[in-house]
Amino acid sequence: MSTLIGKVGKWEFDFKKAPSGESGSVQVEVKGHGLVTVQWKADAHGIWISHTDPKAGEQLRGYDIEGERDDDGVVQYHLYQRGGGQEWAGLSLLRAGQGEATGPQAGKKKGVRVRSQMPGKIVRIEVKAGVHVEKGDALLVMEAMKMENIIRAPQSGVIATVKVQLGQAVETGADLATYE
Amino acid sequence: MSSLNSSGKRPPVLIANRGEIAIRIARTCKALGFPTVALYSDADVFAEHVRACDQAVYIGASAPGESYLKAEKVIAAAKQTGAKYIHPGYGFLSERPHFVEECEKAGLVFVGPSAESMRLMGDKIRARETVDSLKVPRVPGSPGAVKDAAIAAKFAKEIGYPVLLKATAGGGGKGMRRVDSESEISAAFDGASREALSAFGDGAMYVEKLILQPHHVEVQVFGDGKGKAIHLGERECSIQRRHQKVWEESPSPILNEHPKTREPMFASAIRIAEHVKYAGAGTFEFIVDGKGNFYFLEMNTRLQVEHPVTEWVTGVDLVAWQLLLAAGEFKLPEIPAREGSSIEVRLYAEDPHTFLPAPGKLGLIELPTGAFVRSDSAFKEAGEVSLFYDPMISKISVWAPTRPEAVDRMRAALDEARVQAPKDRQGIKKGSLRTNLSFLRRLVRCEQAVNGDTTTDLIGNNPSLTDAPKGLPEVDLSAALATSLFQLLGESAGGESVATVAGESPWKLIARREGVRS
Repeated sequence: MSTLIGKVGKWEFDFKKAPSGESGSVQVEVKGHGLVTVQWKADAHGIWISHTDPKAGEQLRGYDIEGERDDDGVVQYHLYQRGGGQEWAGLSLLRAGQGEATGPQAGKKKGVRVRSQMPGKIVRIEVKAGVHVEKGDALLVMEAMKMENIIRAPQSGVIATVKVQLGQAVETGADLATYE
Repeated sequence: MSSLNSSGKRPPVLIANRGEIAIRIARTCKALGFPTVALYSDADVFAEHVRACDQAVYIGASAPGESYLKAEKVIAAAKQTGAKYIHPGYGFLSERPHFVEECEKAGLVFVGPSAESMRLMGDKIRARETVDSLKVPRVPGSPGAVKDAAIAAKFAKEIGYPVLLKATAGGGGKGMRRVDSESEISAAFDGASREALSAFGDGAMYVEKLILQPHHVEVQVFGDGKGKAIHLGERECSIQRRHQKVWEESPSPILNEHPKTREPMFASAIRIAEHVKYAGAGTFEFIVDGKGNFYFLEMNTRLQVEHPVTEWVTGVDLVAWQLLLAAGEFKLPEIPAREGSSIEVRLYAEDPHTFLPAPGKLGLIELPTGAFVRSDSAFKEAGEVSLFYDPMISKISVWAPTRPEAVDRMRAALDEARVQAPKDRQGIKKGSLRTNLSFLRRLVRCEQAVNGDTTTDLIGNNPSLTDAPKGLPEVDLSAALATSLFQLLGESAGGESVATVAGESPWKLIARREGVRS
């Protein structure tokens, strides 16, 4: 367990104790707003929270929350407001001291991989190693759900390797090609 | 008359389909007192449609070609269970005249049109000849299948670009390409033809003029098989992604703008349906341009995915009509009155930005309900969207007295829906599932859709519908606190023993693994 001080977006929080369990209540110092008491009830897919909002008054809100770990092991959460239709992507509690370094856009990496977003079969390969591609260029064509789907270059650069062969069946997440 | 009198006496209906449509058909069968037989493949052993039926027959491996498309296995299943009727649903064997003949040979009743009218209308090129002979307008195009890209280019030049290349055996946007200039036609032809060959076993293509600012409007008909048919109004299905419908409604906004188009369109549809002695539910698809001109596109000789929209505005259970007609208990009524406005959207397992299929296991599904809200779903609880089949999860449809009220009701319904992927104890998503729910929520708020300016290029013209959110969003205090708490709770849970996942003991898991396979 690391520090209980951190921020989400513009909000800076200082949790007075580490929350645990399915439900409970915790006090949070919200910078600029003072101490806020938050009650929560968590489940396998998200959380209900009740708290006093300095502007909106007493609020009970539910969120379905989906975490995704990126290649660096940083977890970003996607929130879907229950019954409300609002959503936010790429949220996480950034700990004091770690701050900007672990932000979602913390520096472009080399050797970017192009991964399959779905299971399918490779029906055409448009590039080979050493070729320079522009962002949006067709790299290969996959057949999935009986549809041909063009896999396009996520960024400009030189292709290092093409990891698949014509006719090959690939699973979700499989490497298709890599950049230099 | 209530069917209680006859229940138990009617012969069974075999439902030669899966997913939501099999469940929807089973519901009406039950109400009418027809016992039901489901089919299932390896992937569908525990599927909801199997549970929805009185009995089920295993018909093979997961790939459709090994199971749901195997006519002889389907017929054998009917014989084995004493089923008399075969309802094909949509897709799979629903539009194969050969299958209809096989059913007849086996002494079974196919719930649908005759093989002959299916052949006439199902093949797009023969359908055009029929339509021309009945003086129904259609989009200019090549008179028949074109052999190669060069011949396609010749016709395209004649008609004028842009043109559409379409598979003669096609449907659902598969084997279809827009071509804007001669330089693109060769690659487009090869791609579309290959796609058609793989999807339908037939790579034949034809060329058609592309109508700009088009609206996709279709007419629902019902024929008695003896040369009489009625219409049940229209549906507009203009809002499409990847040439596949995602939002359907009745009445059609473009016909409301050009109400004089309506009756000639209905008359054209009925003229064709009566000419081919159409039996049962069928749909005539038209393109309507911005001025209200209409052109025949094709006929679908089956129940459509979007039929609930028609059911909402007419009060007719189309599957009940189909079954009663097949049972010889149906008399064609007057044209039903249509009332109010209905909208349906399709919830898919697909990426909400790219619309690429993203099937996988569901962790949670909760569909909307309430007054005048209908969910036709393949799931009642978390299951798996199989990569072997269409990735549709559910249709959600609503009715209201007016279109603006229907849009409001749909917005509330979509906000109520919840579909989540499975997660680990820290809330990290497991598996490949993504859904278009976020997209649908944006769509129902999109000004162009809300206003009923429903052209087929709506999605392309509104990039905010599909753009990924940029940067860190302006998050409110509640969402920020929820994120922090969820993350902190996940971290504290991550430190504990992971022996019990979602309240299940490891013993139970082991027992399941060992037990099921005996």
